Amino acid sequence: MELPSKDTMLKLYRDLLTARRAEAELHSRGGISGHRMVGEEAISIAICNNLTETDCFHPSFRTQPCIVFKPGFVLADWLAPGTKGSTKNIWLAPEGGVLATSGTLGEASLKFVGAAVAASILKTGDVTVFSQGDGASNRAPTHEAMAVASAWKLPIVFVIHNNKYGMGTSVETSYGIEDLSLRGVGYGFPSERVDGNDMLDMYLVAKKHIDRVRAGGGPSLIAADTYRVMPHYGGDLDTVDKYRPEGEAKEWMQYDPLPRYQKQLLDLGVLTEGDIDQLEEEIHAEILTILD
Amino acid sequence: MAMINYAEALNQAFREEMRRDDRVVMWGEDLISHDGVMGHTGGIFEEFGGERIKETPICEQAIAGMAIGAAMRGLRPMGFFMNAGFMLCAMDGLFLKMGCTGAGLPIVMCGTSGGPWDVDHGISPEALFVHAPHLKIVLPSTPYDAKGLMKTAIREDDPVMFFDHSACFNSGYSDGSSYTPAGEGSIIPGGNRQEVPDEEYLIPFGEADVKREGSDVTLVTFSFTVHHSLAAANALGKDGISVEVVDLRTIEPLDVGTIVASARKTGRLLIVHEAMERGGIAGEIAFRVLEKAPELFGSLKTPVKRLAAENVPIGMTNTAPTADGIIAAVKEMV
Repeated sequence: MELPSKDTMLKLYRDLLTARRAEAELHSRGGISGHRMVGEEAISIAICNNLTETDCFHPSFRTQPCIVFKPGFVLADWLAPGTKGSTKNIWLAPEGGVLATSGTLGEASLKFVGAAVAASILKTGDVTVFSQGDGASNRAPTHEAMAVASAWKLPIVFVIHNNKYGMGTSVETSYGIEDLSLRGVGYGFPSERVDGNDMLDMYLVAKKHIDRVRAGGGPSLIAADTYRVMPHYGGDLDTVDKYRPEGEAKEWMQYDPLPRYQKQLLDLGVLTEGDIDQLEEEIHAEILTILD
Repeated sequence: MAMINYAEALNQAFREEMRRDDRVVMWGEDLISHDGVMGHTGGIFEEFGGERIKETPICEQAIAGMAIGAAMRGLRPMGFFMNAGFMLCAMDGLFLKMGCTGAGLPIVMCGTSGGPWDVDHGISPEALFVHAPHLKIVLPSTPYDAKGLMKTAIREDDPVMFFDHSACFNSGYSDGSSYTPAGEGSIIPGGNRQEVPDEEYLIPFGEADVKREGSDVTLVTFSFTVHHSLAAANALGKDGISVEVVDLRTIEPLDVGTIVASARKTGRLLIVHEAMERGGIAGEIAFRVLEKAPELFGSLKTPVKRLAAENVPIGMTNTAPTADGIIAAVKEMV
């Protein structure tokens, strides 16, 4: 596949680095409750960089803060004083394509299918992307969402973040299949499995499917492999070793999207070591300016 | 003035409102192939086309959940579940997402209550939805009310649960019997047809309608039970007992004022509904009356009484109140 433009590749790097550093800064200040996204950011960032201000997007719950990288939102929507380190203040911003999430997992998929219905009836040209984790993707509303999207050929991309755990239940326990893109096949969706920790691949796959849907090609499904490096939430630190094989998290750390992407860009000559240091400083300063 | 039935009344409301506002769309089960089963969505496809009326797969959660997203993005969706019991498959969307956090969403959810078939097809689930803070709940008994209330529902900017009733459509029961609202004492004179004005009209929510005036007992009810109540009132009238029949039309908002005024006049209050008694809306109505008029309970000639289906599932037996039961209940009070 053809590489994205240099500007796009740099933007993706900047967003990835920003997400990583911002979450770490918030965590160091005790400002987040602990559903951390570290290691999974690339998927939602890749999607945001393929969307317009009026497209609809539901990031997976864990990567919710990445919504600030969707056109129309800014980093301050996540970090400004008063947000308490959460993007909850923009969870309901229908004109910007954010239609709230659901504590009952999977239910939000139906809202986003409804948004795709509106786009198709009102002929707005907007695309809807609905992402959620492997855990939520087993729930009934998701299946009804896909059934209707399939029957009505709606402009929507479903994305499953396969981060290998729904709380403490492994994907091996909760699925009878290993390749979660098979979930789209029965609904007739072009379905693709992708390494969600490979920023460039993820971007290009997201672009391919979003462009196809935007052109009127009907729904798609992307199953993005990633890994939840952290426990389900901060308080889960003590129990995580009960359900996670020893060494598994450490092994996945080598697939961390940030250093991988950094190396790719260095190899491609898009970034230099000097650029990397400079970007770190810029982003650090930007984060502190908003936070303080 | 045209004589129309309940299905035609709803159909007219749909057409008038869909002509008035392009954003009004409808989806649900068998809306085109079976005209919504009850006939009320007949011809909508021919007039408005497949973008504005869509048949869903049998996906009740989607019928509800999609409406929320579509409403947030500029449509005014209506969803049709066929039987009201099927709505219970979609309680997350209906109760939590519309009922608890859905204020300001212009949605109408339609289901057909009632009938003696079985609990899944025949239940009257309205009381379940009263508990959710943001839902308006509509249960029309006549063609005139159905049309005026449906037009209001479609223009309403909060989510509405619209329960029509299988017997009001006069489609007959599965055991071959059929109820004719035009029975003795009915306010619907021509079979199941009633005159409605040629000019446009809307019926506001929260305004009960006194379907028959009386002086001895206030009988509060809604939906198809209005017709049983009118038949009972007619029979009781021959025995010299004068019953006032108050048709609530909407149970949320609830027109407590009309109930209180009537009960003050008659000195007796009987609340009747088809749904099961325990947790039914009668208990809520009685308490709302108590809150609005605390002195009334002490001054009534007999204690407030309720008559509802027994606390057993609809199935082999249907214990929903009929005229005979209502007559007996009233006679116990006077």
